[in-house]
Amino acid sequence: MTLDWLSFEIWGVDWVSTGFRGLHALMAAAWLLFDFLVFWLHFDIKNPAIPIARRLERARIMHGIDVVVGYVFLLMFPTGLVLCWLTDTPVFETGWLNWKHVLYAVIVIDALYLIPISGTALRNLRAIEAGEGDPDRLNHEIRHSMNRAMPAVFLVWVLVFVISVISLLNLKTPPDQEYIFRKTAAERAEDPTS
Amino acid sequence: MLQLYLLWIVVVLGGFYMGVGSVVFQVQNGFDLALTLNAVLYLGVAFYGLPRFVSLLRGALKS
Repeated sequence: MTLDWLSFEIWGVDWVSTGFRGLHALMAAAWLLFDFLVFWLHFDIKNPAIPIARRLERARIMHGIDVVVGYVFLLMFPTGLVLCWLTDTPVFETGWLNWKHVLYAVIVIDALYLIPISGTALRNLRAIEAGEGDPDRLNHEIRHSMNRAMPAVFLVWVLVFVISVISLLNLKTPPDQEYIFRKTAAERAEDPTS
Repeated sequence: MLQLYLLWIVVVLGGFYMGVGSVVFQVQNGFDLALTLNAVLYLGVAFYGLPRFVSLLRGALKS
């Protein structure tokens, strides 16, 4: 199958496939960065010694960042499949990609475990601010749910890191091309289409 | 709400795509450990998410 209609080449760089590679890598980086922000915010949120207004503000920020993390996590899969198509990488025939998919499946299971926990902090803090329920019990729930989530969060970081290393070690260089993203001047001179 | 739809689309449709694809590829080309794990994990999450995805779609159709 030819993908010539999808190529947009300047100075030996195919900007469509390179753009998707960049987007996919950038999403992985954003995923980890935003997850670290959430991790950093959670310390104040679960601390009952901090004023409720500050905890609630941080919980709202954390929830907003979590939504972005959720989109990044979910869109990694379709962008990865598009990248396979653009770079002519068979989805089920490529050994290293199969192992990457195994690790992504573990992250999906991890996410299904984390999703019901993720809303507890904001919900309970709102209840504490409104004077509803027992604050000690609500605070205990927040602390308990966040501590319960931590091993799963650490597992996601480790898996994303391992997936990134697997991808880096298997970056596909087009045949007879010296650089990963662009052709050399000699290759461009030889190729009449570029 | 959009994220909820996206979640179950990725989990269920993506799960079936990866799971069934892994099984079909192994039937045609023989056993592979990574593909077997893919089939078990992805079909597992797809079947887990299927009732939730269906009830989400039913709720959307009712409203």
